[in-house]
Amino acid sequence: MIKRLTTALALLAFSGMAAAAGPALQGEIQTQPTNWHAIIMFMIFVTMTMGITYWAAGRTKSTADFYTAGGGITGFQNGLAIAGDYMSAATLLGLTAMTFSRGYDAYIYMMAFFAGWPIILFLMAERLRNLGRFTFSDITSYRLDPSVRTMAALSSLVVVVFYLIAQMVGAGQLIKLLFGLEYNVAIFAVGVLMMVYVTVGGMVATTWVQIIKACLLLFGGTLVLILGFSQFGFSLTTLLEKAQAVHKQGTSLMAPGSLLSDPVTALSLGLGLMFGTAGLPHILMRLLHRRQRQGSPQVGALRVRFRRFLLQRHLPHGPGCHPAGRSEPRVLRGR
Amino acid sequence: MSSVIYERLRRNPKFDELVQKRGRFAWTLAAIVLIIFYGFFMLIAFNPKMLGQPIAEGSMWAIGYTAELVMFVFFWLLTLLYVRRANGEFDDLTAQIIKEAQKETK
Repeated sequence: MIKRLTTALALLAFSGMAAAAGPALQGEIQTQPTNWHAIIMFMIFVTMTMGITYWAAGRTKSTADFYTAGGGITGFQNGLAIAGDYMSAATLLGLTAMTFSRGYDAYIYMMAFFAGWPIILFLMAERLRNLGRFTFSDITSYRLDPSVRTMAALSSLVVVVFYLIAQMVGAGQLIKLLFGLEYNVAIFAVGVLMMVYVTVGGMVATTWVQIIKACLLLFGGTLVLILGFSQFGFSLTTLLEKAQAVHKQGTSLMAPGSLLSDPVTALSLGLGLMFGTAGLPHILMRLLHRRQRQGSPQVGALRVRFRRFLLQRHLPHGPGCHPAGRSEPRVLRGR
Repeated sequence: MSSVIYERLRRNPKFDELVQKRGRFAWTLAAIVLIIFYGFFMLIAFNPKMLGQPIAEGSMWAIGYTAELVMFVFFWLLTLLYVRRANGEFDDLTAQIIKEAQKETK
């Protein structure tokens, strides 16, 4: 229990850091008038996920339950959860926005994110699963000197802190935009919710929350894709023509732009994105769900399939936003 | 007690076979992915203009988009290939090795 409290306090400190990082972005987004539809939808989802957390808390009795859901998660469920973990705010909002503003450059990012997955599967997934340990530090210290634990813990924390701050700033801005809340209030609301999910429910709850998130994203994304595409008579050619006609970059949308101007930058981006994916602690720990006959290898296929599905959608999404954005004043306001 | 079983597992020639086969297979696939991926990135770095060209005269499809689409599909197929073999051949072999190690105990 004390351990959990310490975790909670640490998380609270991080949310403070996110609150500090927020104001940099504040100038660009105006606080919206209170949007009741969005608030009600949000509340429904919070209530639902809280219900799951409560149910999961009743089932979490041992260390194994807390960290790896006691091995009671099937390959398919785990695959969905990994997909949910990875389809974060950065993927959904960041990549769509980037496709919108930069065109092909964003597609390079998607490719690089995606290419990390086969590497994880081929070289890491099975080894992690077979060990039947709880955390990443357990694994490194199993093979190496036990003192390597400190190093592993530190590196995990560094990665997670940076990752978490970005996610929380994203979530805070989103809630601020939807609810018309103050940014600081929004950030703390998100922080408190996150802490409750993790500290009370453990891995069982987070897994189920991620599964739901993955399903919602896949469904919502596909719906938006179909609706957006229908505006162009389901013709990619028409879509690309219109996008190039209205975008200030014109035909250069289709080629790599200023983003990767020299070989060193390109190589460094490729390395960072690909192996960065393979090093995300919250993804790796999902592979530790314990020795199950038909577990992880299957999971690999699933999550890659889901990832591809999501990423492919961004291609029409971004350009799709574009001409639609021009004709719809409400979207334009965001720019 | 379990260390005796582990020892027996390691002495089984099938264990070496499994490790070797699986390792070679996984590294081959990983090498394919890495070579294609970084080859593509070198293209982005050294010849970005080429990726912007349409694949055919008058077509809206640029070479870059097509190449990435093919990569997505190809990597996914590699994953499928690995999963097939891991769930079939490698899992069967693992089960056999474990069974044989347990049999000797009795």
